[in-house]
Amino acid sequence: MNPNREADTRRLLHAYLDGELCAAAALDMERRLATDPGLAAEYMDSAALQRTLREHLAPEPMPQRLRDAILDIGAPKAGAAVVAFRRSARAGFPQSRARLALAAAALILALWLGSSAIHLASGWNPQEASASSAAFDAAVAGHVRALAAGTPVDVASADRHTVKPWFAGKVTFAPQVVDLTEDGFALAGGRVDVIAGRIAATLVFRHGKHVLSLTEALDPGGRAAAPTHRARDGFSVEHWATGGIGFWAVCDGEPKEVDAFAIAFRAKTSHEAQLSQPIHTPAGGSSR
Amino acid sequence: MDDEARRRFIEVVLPHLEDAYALACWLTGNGADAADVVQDAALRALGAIGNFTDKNPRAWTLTIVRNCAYSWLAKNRPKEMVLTDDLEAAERVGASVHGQTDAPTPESDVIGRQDKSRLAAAIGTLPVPYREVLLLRDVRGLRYREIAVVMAVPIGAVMSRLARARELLIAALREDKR
Repeated sequence: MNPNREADTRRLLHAYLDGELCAAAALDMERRLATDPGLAAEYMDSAALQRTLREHLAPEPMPQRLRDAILDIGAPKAGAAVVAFRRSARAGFPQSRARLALAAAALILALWLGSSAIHLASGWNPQEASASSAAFDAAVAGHVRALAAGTPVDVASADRHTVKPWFAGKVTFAPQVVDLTEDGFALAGGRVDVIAGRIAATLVFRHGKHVLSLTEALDPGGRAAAPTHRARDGFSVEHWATGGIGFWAVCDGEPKEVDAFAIAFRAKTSHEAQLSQPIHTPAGGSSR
Repeated sequence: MDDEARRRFIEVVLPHLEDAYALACWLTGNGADAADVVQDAALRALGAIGNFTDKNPRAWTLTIVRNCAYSWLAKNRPKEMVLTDDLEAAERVGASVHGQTDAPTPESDVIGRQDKSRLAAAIGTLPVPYREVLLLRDVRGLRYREIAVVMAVPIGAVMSRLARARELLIAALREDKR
């Protein structure tokens, strides 16, 4: 038998075993099995394998915790999911449950922010609808959206020499990319976000179990801004601006961790600015 | 949140959570990672439920789970990723290479006498797409047509992979016994 016909016959044999053949084809296969010992042997082996698989690998039922968590996603009260997140963050639930609550809260938050709805529970003041507040919202929204999607980075690399050039052609400035592993913040990669209609460069860091996003965007006003802190639904945000670029650091950890990050980041970038020549580079350049 | 979307999500996805968890377990190799994948998939399913018009909610749900699992694998276990091209090339070669040299004797009782850990170990040696098709067919009992949808391949490929997967697993179990 030529190899193609042989391959076809074997496929049909397995289909016969699985009850997928129509009556005529099944009849044909039965005849062949009666006269071809090699084929019959393969049939019996496969049938035995199937029985063994079914016997030993009867599926483990999914844990009730997981089922509950999925049902929570469909829970009628969106607020309940946000509260659940806060509770789990404080109580230190098992990581997968906390991550689910985080992701659920993130999805809800992203939807609210996306539709410009006002989240009254956080004490957000509607009168404060200034451009800088919108930028805060956008930085947080980018962070939660990325977490909810499961992949917070578009370029995954701990090497700043990979991440920094990746932004070339995507953002109209040369973002500061530093690795702060010594300070406990390991670079995980980068992505692009939008802040106030401007394409922004976001670096993603890992800090223990937390993920921190640092979004950098061109500030056309060029004003320097002293660091300011905000908290939104369990996220800590710190913003500052220097050298014509605005920075927003977003993290689900304690505010002092974001502060520590910001201090380390500013220290490292100003140190490097002193080392290298201050060249203003157009898109696609590097500062060296 | 949209009540209608949530209701639809529960209706479409919930009945297939066990299948989803089983598939995720097989692809990731353990329950904790599978739980993460299933949660991720559930969120995506909720987000995409407005697009659901299929007649087959099981295949739709499992497709999402599968995609999440593969994203997870690509991120956490890149070495296990097998490119489809490699797989098809291996299947073509395999058909000619595999033991028509030995006279095939049915060692069904050997296969039947496997214990769970040896079986699991042997399955662990299979490339991911083969593990997947065995899980979907022999453990979860999906029809070929459904498997074709979930794995996003033509039915012919499902049949080839299944035949090859069973052949490889039988060979692995025999190797072990020697």
